[in-house]
Amino acid sequence: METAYRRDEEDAVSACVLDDMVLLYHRRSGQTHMVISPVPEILERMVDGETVTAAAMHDRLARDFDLGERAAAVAEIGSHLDALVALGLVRPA
Amino acid sequence: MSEPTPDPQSQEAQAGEAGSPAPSRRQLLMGGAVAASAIVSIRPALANTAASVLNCTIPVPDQGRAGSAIAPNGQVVPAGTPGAFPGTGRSFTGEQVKQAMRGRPLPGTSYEQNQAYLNYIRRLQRGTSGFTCYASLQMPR
Repeated sequence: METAYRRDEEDAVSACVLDDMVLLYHRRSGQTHMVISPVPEILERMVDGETVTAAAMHDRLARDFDLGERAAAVAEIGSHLDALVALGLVRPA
Repeated sequence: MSEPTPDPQSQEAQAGEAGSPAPSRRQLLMGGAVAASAIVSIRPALANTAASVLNCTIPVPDQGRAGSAIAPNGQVVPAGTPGAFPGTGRSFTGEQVKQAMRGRPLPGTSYEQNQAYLNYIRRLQRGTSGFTCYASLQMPR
């Protein structure tokens, strides 16, 4: 089955935008993550708190961005989501 | 303009973008196969002891509330609350919690029980027993 993901509660993270980079301070772990595209774009599209699969995230991103070949883009989005799970910013739903 | 980023992958991607004809839609910089290249983390000093992660423990719930139950959303509620799961009266190891966050349930728990306990662990705050262990699990490898 395809993994669905959900963003952690919005107040779990404090964000600071620095040009092309975003600093995310994760309150619970006390860690600061410096993230670049496409991570901020992915997280932006999860603020509604709904669960989303890598394929569904691809479709959300594809409304605004040219993502190239679908299968490759979905795989990359999935690995970004998994990386975010490892940091505690996103959780498998 | 901004300083060049230290990430060689993103520099390449930016150079590639500048050299190509203007796309009708913005190109999203994808990290390629290595997702971690889009994320750099600053670790707090407390979590520098990666070796201890496997051995540290997280009580569910902490000893001060040992008789209480865990609601599905992870909140600690009075024992006997409908829908809540009894506290385990035990601790899980950092390694067990790490595996659980990747989808392998905590030992001896049902699916819903595992979700409730994990939600409890995710809600741990600084100063609560098990917090330091949980925080150290969230270090990138």
